[in-house]
Amino acid sequence: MFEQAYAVRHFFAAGGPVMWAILLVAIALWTLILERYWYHWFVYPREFARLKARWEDSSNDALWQARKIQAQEVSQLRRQLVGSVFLIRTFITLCPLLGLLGTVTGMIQVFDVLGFHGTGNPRAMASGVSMATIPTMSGLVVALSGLYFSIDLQRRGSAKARVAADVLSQILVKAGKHETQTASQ
Amino acid sequence: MTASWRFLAALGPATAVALGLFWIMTSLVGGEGREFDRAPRQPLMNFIRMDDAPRPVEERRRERPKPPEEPQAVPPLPAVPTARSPEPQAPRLDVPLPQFRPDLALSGVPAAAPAAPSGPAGPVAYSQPLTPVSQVPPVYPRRALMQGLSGWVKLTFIINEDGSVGDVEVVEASPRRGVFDHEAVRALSRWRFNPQTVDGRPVAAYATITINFNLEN
Repeated sequence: MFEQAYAVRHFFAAGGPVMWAILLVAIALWTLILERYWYHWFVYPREFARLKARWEDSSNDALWQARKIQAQEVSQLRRQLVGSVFLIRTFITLCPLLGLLGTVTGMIQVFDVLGFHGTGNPRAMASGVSMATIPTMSGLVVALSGLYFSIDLQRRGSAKARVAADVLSQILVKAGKHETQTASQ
Repeated sequence: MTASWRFLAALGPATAVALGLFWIMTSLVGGEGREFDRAPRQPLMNFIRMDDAPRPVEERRRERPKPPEEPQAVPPLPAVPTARSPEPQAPRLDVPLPQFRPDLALSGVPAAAPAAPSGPAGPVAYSQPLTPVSQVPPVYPRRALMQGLSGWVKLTFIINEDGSVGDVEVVEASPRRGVFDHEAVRALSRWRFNPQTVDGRPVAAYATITINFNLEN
């Protein structure tokens, strides 16, 4: 464990200051992703069940009004489901760009070394070159790790919102039919 | 309220995931992480140069051989004193020799005529200045020309009665052998000299000559 920590520390030292920005972005990205999955697996089923129960219990007289209220609630639900996915995608776009920034700063260091030593000292150039390439790689890896989950979350959220709208409107239709039947009798 | 709690709770695992990602990257790079495992297993090899004693420095010094000066004229060789063997000190015997007179009748046998003196027994030294009557210049050997060598060849030869050159032999040469010898012999064999005369008659004479091969830039 200590050895791994040492290796990662060395890796960070080789990559330069941009690595810390990439690490922060990676932590933020995965916080959002994990929160989303938590929401999908544990929170959303409860919320949806509560909402369904409320609509089944409630007896609205005005069908039009009920539809509007339902539409508002579904919209809120969709916003909750898909809301932070936009932020996740932003972070995923951000990661390779941060890596590119690290590349540029590393190249600048390489040029500094070249200007100072000339081309005769590849050993001194090596640190600059690794500083240029390591942030690129880490940015790409972080972006790749988040890409699948962002797409999955996007589809999952929109699908659930659609299902929720369908289910709620069905409840309303059943209640409305029931109401009309009772009214006709 | 619950949403922000969720974010806070997710922060910890997310940090773990991010660090794990970075650890995977580290092993992707193949840097320090693997060296920890590999280092103790590999036997370390170390080569130390051990000298018993400081060896004395060998120096080779090369000196340019001095080309011998061209002899203007071969001086007449002094008479070589022949080594005279010491008188054998045999014990003298005082034995009375028997007195006898051989009275052989040989008066009838014709005595052989004394051999007429037919010139000198061997060639004499050449006493004139060694200026050839006709001279064929030696060709510089191609091999020496390419290597940039210069040198000399010392030769002895016999000037015959008719002035031609014969019996050429290499005495000394520098560089040692084979570079200039052949060419020097070949050239010298075609030269012609004034024959040595003894009492107005031409005789064979021997002489020594040094042919220099100098490379001019």
